Amino acid sequence: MKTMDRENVAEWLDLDVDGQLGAAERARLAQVLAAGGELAAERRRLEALHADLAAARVAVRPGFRDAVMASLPAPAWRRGRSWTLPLAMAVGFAVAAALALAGASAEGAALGTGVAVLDLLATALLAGSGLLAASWRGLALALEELISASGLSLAAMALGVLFLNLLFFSMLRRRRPHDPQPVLERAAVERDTIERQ
Amino acid sequence: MQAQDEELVESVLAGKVELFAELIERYQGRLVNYLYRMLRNEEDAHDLAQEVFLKIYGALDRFDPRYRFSTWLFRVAQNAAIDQIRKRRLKLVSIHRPEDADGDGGDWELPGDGPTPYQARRNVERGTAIREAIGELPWEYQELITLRHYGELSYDEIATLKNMPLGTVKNKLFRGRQMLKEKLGDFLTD
Repeated sequence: MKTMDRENVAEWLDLDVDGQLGAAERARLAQVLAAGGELAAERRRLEALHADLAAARVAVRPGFRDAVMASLPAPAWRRGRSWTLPLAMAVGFAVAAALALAGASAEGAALGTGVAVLDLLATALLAGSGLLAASWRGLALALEELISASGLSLAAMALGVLFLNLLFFSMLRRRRPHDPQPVLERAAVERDTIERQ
Repeated sequence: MQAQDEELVESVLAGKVELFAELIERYQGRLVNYLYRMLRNEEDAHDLAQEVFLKIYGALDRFDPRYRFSTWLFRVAQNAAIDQIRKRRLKLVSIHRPEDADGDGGDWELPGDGPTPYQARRNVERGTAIREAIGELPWEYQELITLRHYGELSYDEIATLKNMPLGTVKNKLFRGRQMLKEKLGDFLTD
């Protein structure tokens, strides 16, 4: 076994007072300590230092935890999206679109719509790089056909536009920050549960 | 059985926001004391500790469970404290009460349920001496002593936080305490 020099002993003593020595190391240190009174005095000084450092801690102000809990924001990860409203809006839009198409078909406008779509494709082919502009033109023609087909189509289109807007709005809106009070009440219940366990 | 910090984080993320209170309960003392040593002002330490908890809560989904929660918390706290220290000059609070209109100054009356006035004064002096002695240490020792004795982090946690080998942490803490022992010589003997 290697002999411990003064520096090693001081380091081990320091670690021991800080609770960092294993059983075997402690036993070895105890043998060294048994030999001399000077080391025992050093140990007492180290213990006094640890005690003084601990005594210099400040107390946390009362209600600190509850104050933090009460000021918790609604973080991004809490804003879990609810798909109920967007789904309802999408269904509404689909129904309105179906109604518009049905209204158009009843008036024999389906053929007109088909012609408009063909016109769109033809225009797109001709336009080449101007595809986007041509698409808009074709879409406008199709809508024009639909709207002019009947009053029902017009109403359904209006409804469709409304649902579509609501759908976009519901997807963009943010969740309201949660009310901290129920959180604090639940925290108290959880704390009691944990303490009972 | 007490849930691990990392389990609590998972529960909070799963919607049990109220369990964040348990994490605050576990760390508030250590965090406030650590920040108090860094900022040397109790009020500022509490304010910053609150900010740190809010910051942690806001970024909880970015917590990597492979690491310890305590290490993450104290890293955020350390950065926040350093930012604040950079922003302002530290104001040192005197233990002496400023003189009032009658010229009647003296020491603050300290609340206590036991120590005699002599002991109370001695404790204040000792507390001041410890604060000053830590403050006089080279920054790297000061930081480690604060993390160990006020943040109450384990040697492993400090090694992870400071990105240092464990042996270096042990050695620096030993050296730091040796320096403190020398500086506090008179106070340690009584």
